[in-house]
Amino acid sequence: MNRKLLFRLIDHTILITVSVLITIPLYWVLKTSLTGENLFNYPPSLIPKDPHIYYFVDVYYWIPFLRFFFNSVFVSLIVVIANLFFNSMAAFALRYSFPGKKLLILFYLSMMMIPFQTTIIPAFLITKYMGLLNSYLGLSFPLASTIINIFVFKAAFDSIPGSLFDAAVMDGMKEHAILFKIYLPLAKPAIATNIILTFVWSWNNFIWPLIIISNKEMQTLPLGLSTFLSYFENTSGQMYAFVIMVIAPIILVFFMNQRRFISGIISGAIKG
Amino acid sequence: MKLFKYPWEWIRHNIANSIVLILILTTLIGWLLFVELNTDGIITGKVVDETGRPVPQARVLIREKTLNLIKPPLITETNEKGVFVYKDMRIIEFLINAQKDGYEAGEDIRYHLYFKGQHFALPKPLVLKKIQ
Repeated sequence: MNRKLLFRLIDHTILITVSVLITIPLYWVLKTSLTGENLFNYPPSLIPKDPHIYYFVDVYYWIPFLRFFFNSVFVSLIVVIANLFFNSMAAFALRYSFPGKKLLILFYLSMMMIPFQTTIIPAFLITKYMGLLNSYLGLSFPLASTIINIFVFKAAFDSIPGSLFDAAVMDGMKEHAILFKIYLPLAKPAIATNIILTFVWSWNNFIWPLIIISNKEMQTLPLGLSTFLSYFENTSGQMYAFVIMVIAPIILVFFMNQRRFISGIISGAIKG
Repeated sequence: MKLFKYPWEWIRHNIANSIVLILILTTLIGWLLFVELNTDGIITGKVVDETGRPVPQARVLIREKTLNLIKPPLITETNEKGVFVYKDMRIIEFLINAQKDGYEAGEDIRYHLYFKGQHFALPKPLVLKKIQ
């Protein structure tokens, strides 16, 4: 066996082991959601015994799952659309040279270092004064534009030749037309990355909905999950079924766009 | 992002994603159809004695099990063939047993349905034992 093959074998063994280790908790959640088997059963069984979908049925009927699902989807859609709109415009503006541009970028980067928890009270007060408590707009407000995604767009726009922009200007195109008709169609991976990242962040967002939502009808899925925890002990099949129902859409979105997502992240990492 | 004039162009360019989406949609529509066709709310079954003979005029008690309580029983009686029928039941989990004078009280049997109003025939008859 030559040296190269041996290294490839070791590489793949490590990769497969890590992949399996990462997948085990997810598999365990799925298995428990189908069997209700207690987490602390000894010896643990790898193969599910008598699997059924009754726990999913319970979740569907015992909590207003469809309402929570709709809320999560609607808020995530608002967040995704707002991010695509605002982030692409912000990144397009950073394409220009203007006084204080470096300072602005530095400001953006420094803002990334401030955790959301520290700004949560002012964010709440602003949302309250705007009358957006218990509303979809209020839920999507803090995630409507995210700095990391501005840089993803910036990296994609920087890779587009400046001559294309000059040609468009010479043809008499306005800035918004250049952005939406030339730059955005050429930044597919950045768009996919924006969609996936913002969708995931919005979908998993817990602390913000917990603070601004007091009406049960407006709860999102993660909030519903925490309410659910108060009904069941954490080893019950219903809870795991609910977890699967919460994470399934996000896994689906990721798998359907993973190629574009990964290329978008990589291009952001190289050029950002 | 590439814009497509017709949906089938998008499908042609995203075969794997299209298959997943079509599978999900087909399953969803199939399930909704199945629910629509089986949602009469009828729960039916049979009460027999130890020898397998039908027990007429036995009382059958169904108690709905919810998240944190078991509701008071709904009662019906079997006919001369030992068959009982509950109509318009909108429950997903229930306990059922049968009783009759001269017989030992039957044990609760738990059943779970897939959706509210599901047409359900008990897979096994309820068995009553005669008091010796």
